Amino acid sequence: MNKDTILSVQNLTISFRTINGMVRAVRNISFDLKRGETVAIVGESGSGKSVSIKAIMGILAGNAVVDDGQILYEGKDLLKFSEKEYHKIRGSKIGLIFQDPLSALNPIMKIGKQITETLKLSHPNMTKKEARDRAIELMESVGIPDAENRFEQYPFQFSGGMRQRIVIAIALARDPEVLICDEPTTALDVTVQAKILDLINEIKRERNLSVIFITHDMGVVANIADRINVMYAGKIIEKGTSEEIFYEPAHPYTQALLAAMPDLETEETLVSIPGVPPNMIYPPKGDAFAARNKYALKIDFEQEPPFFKLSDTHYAATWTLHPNAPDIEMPEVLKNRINRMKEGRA
Amino acid sequence: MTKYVIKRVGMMFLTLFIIITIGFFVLRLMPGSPYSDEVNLTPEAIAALEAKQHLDKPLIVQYAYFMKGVFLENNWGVSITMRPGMNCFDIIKERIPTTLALNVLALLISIPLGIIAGTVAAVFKTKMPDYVISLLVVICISVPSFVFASLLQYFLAGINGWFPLIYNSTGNVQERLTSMVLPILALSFSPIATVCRYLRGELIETMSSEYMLLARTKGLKNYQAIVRHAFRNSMVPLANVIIPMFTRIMGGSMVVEGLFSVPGIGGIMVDSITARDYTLTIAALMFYSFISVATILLVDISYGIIDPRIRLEAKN
Repeated sequence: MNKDTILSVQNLTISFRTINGMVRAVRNISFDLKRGETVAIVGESGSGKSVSIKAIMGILAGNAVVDDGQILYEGKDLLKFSEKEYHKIRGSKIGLIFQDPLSALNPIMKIGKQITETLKLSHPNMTKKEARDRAIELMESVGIPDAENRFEQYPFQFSGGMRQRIVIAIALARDPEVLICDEPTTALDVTVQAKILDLINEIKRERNLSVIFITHDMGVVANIADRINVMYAGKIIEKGTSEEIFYEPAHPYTQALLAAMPDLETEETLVSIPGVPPNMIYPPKGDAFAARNKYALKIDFEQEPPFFKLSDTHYAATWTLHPNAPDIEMPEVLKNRINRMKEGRA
Repeated sequence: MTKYVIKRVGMMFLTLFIIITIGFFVLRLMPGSPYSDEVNLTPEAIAALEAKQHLDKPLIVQYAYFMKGVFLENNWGVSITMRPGMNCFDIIKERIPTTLALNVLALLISIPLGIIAGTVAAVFKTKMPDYVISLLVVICISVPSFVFASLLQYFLAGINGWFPLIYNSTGNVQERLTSMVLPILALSFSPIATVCRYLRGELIETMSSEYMLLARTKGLKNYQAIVRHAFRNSMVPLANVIIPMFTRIMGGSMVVEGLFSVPGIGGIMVDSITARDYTLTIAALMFYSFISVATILLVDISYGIIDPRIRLEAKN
């Protein structure tokens, strides 16, 4: 394992016991997080993104079973940790920002108390005054105006964006090295989204954090990620740097996702991906996306595609990259869009 | 908040008025008269006695007399048959301490026991302790308190003799308390089960909430997260259950007091109905109604104390 790698997920496979059978939520995924970089995991609802990060935090639901794999944090396998050992890194080494700030804060506990409570976990000897000062400092650093007075207020007196800032402040309170953001902007409206993303970028730079960023929104990823993993039906189907994923998407699913991004510059109708994700109690045999892919080959339904290497950093699991596969033109809409994006960046 | 409380108190008195009105007419619908059991009296004597109590007048006139007494003269009338001539209010007053002691003690031991049982059940959800507790809860909720009272009397007082069979109203404090153990126990089973069942449900719901996940991910241990974050949140709806439960305990104690010969209001209520002592029944009914309406008032106010969202909104 590379020295720069702080967190490494290897062959992680997770299922859920349900009345109807085992749901294969995460199927053999691997990715690395290097110090100081932001890795995004992109995929639609139910693709296994949140389950993977819950496994990293050690807060999987009771009916979850880790079938296989390792989660190496600084070389140690978190999946083998006892609850007591986990307790030492949860919050203090790895922090988590939630999707829905409206329900992530205890509704009947003062904001200040929720932050100082976290501070005291790392600094048990902190006096009340010190904790208060530190909490107010934290609140100011995440952009809460009038923090002195806000300290005494309850969550319901905060707006959604302000609550998300509090959740971020709580996650930062113990100075973690790794920050996991689980769709942190999904529940917020667009203008607030941008501000929260800026804030996350800013604190990441200031504190040299390593960030795992979970989202289903390609537009959000563009501004924040160094590397992107695209997940579908519990598997990572394409991984690469942001540029590679945005400018040279190889997997039909990644292409479809990019094409489905709403675009204000053109008059095109919004493209959508036909069909529904597969039922993960019976995961499809070949490429899980085949049923929704109009370019699917026969082999897509029969055999799982391996990762084909496109560059040192860019891999995609699709048979379309096989030397024997017919060449497929990227959809026109997407081509135009990529060209526009390139121009925009230049 | 003040305006809110005043409004609630107003509603409370209106409710009480309606209860005594309905109570008054329902009682008079019972067949017979207070004196129909008095075989030694001549019909003339009975007629004279009834005239004295205005019982010979039309119902609506009797009602007017009664209301006039209650509202204008603060006079609840005198007992007709049970303790003839004695003021009903005084009879009730001297029995209030015993009844309240019995019921409040039952409530006080039910709440902590129910909370402990409910928490254990929630933490060990769908494991052995949960199943055992759930079974006990079903039994305790479905079996009425007077059945428990008889069973306790039989096993703990009758066979083992650990506790006195009936309430000892003449002994010293310790003797009185010991003789109260069985009635209190009998009254507690159902409230313990009620608290337990509600708390289990509430806790399970709050424990699966997002803020509990946040509490865990910020580094709190599981029990710390439950104690600091889940508990108080689960208490908010529980207040709505615990306080009115007192009324239910009082209801159970009507019969249980009789079984243990506790000289409380429950006994009076039951006896006065069979003796057709209208005035005394209404006075006892009034006491019970007052307690139950007051508990409802308490629930409304307690919401404001436990939940800052309600407290602060009322302030604005």
